[in-house]
Amino acid sequence: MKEEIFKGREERMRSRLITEFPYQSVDLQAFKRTCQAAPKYVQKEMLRAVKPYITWSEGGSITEGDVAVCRLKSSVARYNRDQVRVTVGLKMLPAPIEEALVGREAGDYFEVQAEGGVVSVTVFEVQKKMVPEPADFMIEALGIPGIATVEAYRAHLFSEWKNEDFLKHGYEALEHLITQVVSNSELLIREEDWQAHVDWELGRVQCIAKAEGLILEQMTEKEFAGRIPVKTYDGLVALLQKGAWRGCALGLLGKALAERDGYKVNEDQYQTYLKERAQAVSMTWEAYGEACCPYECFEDIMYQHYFHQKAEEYIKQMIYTEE
Amino acid sequence: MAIHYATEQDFDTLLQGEFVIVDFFSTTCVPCKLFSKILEDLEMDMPFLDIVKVNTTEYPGLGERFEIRAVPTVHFYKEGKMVDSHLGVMPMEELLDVIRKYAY
Repeated sequence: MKEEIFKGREERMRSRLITEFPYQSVDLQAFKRTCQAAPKYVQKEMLRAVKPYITWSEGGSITEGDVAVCRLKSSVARYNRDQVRVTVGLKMLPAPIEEALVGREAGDYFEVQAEGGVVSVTVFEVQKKMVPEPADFMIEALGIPGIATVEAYRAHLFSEWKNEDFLKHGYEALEHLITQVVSNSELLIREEDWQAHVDWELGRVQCIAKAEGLILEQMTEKEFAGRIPVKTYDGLVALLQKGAWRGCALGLLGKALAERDGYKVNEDQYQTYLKERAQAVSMTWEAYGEACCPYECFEDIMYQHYFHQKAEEYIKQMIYTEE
Repeated sequence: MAIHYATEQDFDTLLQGEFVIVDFFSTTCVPCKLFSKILEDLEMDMPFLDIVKVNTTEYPGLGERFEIRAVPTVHFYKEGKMVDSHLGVMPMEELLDVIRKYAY
């Protein structure tokens, strides 16, 4: 009888996701961002691709961006130069001189008032920057895997701009989405699993503290400052306890997404992860794994990361408008 | 001259220009990559400027000689003598200010 009552209890009591609130249902209207700055970024980066093919040709009348080779004569010592090269428009010379250079040609002579004196200028040479239009062979030469045309590179740069912008401005949208999904999903989280999350994080922080010659439980407010936003060890535990519940929730949600997508975590990834983390705290990967990152912890981290990734991709699709 | 990657052998010769910008960087340094882009932009506009790049990973001796503790570090030379230096990424406007001050 007792066995009947308890049959399947352990299975039913495992932490699990009961009802998932789809992240696609979260309203992101308040976080919309325009892509007004994107074309300027794309243009600037495209110019970098064209840069090896830029040439300079001699002649013509000076416009902004041209290089003028001049002689300067003046009672102001600083402006006595037998030969000076200046890119017009960068304000390397006083404004009256640079402004007067515009429209001049090689062989021209003029005088201008500047810096408390008269500066006479002789233009020897004018060099004009010849910037070719972007072409596919220039993009191919960049050697970016999978990108060999101007159009593909433009799309890539636009995507890069979105990623950069998201890093600076997307945090609020991400937090909003996660909060909505977690609070509207039904989750069963066992106390043991929640405690395990706390223990894993504490173990990780202990390894870092040890690597810096500190004993975590004895760290002072000064030692915490600049490292972790707490003042005491108890404060740290409280912070981790607060975060662990959310970690459990995101791990379950991420696992559900991963299983639907056919994404699986594997031992090779685990070892690679341990080796990177262990190196940073001067431990062997085996010792690090034992101290704070058993396989189930790593799995959980990867599923949380998977959720974050999917959420970010979705948000980027939704919040960026063309205008 | 535009951008030249220095070696231990040619570094001192490269400093002898009228005005030279020296960028000490390392291959693993992320801010160095950002500063590299700024120097490339500068070179596009001022192709006559002498910019010397020193890879401190490849040539640690040059880094030690100039007591480079962190990268990127930028040194500015006028007629072979160091006139200014800066630790960290320099925005374009700040770079132009230094060039204006010493090269013009």
